[in-house]
Amino acid sequence: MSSNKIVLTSSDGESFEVEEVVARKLQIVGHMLEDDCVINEIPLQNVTGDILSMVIEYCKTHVDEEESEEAQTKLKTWDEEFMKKFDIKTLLQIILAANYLNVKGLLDLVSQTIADTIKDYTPEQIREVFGVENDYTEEEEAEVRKENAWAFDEADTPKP
Amino acid sequence: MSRKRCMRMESLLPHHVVERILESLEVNSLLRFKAVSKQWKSTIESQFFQGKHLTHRLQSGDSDVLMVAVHNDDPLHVETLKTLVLGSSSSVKIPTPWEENDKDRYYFVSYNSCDGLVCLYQPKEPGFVVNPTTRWLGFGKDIFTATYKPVWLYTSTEIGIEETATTCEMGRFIGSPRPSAKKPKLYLSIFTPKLISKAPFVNSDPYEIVMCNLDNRLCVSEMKWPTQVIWSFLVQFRQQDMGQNHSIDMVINVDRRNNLRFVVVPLASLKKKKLLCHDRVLCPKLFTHDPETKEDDVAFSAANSIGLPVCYFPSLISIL
Repeated sequence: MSSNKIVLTSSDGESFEVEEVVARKLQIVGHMLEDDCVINEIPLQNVTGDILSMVIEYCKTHVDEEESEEAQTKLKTWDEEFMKKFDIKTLLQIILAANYLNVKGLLDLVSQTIADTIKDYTPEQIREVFGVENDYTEEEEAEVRKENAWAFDEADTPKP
Repeated sequence: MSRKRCMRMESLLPHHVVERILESLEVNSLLRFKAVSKQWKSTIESQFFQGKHLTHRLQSGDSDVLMVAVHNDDPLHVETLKTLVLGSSSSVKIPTPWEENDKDRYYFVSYNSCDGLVCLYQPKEPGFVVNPTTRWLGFGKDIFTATYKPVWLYTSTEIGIEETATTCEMGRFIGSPRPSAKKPKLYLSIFTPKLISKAPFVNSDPYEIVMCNLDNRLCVSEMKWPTQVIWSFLVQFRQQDMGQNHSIDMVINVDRRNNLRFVVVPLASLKKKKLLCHDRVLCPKLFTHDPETKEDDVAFSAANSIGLPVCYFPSLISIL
């Protein structure tokens, strides 16, 4: 593969020069390259520089998808360490970017990490973090909580 | 990590991204998150989402174990349902409506689960379909009349068919092969099986033989001292014919110092290529068997009893 370089530009004007193989891990870029082979600078409207740099870091690490068990284990350990760096707000930014840029592996990884992070949250915490509006009336919400009361009991005493 | 900005998210996640996150959550978190908003509730309750959620669980984890009719210290009292996550040392009791008044009511359980549902039954009474994960309790669906009915499970002897009869009616569950395929459902079907006359275990001692379901294939395991073999069959349950292909899939060497007579029951094959088994003689124990290293490990042991164990994948599915 040629080491053709491509420049990715974030919404806030930050530029990243990466190898074409890395850029192609972003499927949105892959499609653009197929449509027109002469692009070497790609503006990415919906992602900021700080988030894009993390996505690129992921793609660089995952650029060789080796099949060997050893390589897979190593990647998995790297993934875990990589995810540990981020708080929930950043994780949500990353999943948004992974969805927009269409990076499947990252999307799976971040979905699982977010799920592990929020599993013991209360509905109130979820609403706050995800920016969800509570459209229940007080009675309706009380009813839903009552139907699933046991799932709330266990949330109060999180597992060790 | 220093962040330049951490303001409230200006745009919400698109709902399909939210759904993707929800697929990775466990059932009790999802039940709790129904209280977040109407849209979250409607997603979590949709059949499409529930199918995808189960598929995710099937791919990413091992089944849990349901223990039915567990005896505790009081010999007259059975606890109908307890669930166990493999690898943890304690089990969780699932309350049932009848246990408040009727402490010695005893249910049997179907050997297999389907889409996270199991069937409880008694010889002369209708049984229930239970989802031990959501604690839902209901009836079975009759695929011929498309109605919901109490579940009856019986064998030919209970309804008085002569033992020499070559056909019998049996109730069994058929799940959709791919839970993501639109409508994951549990069906109770009546079918007339054919006898497999060339089976390799026709003349075996019934104590030394057991049927099981491993990776959705019908298997028969027979003790062949000092090992136990497992045959798996290619069976087309959806047609009336039972295929006749069978092969020895695995040989287990279980420690038989304490168990000379009874066959060990294989319950499930686990992700790490191990087999989860139940030794009915060493009753309050489940163990895993590694066919490569031939090693056994205790997976769970209880002080008194583990009742009748059956494996299931936690799911949100009910058959309403």
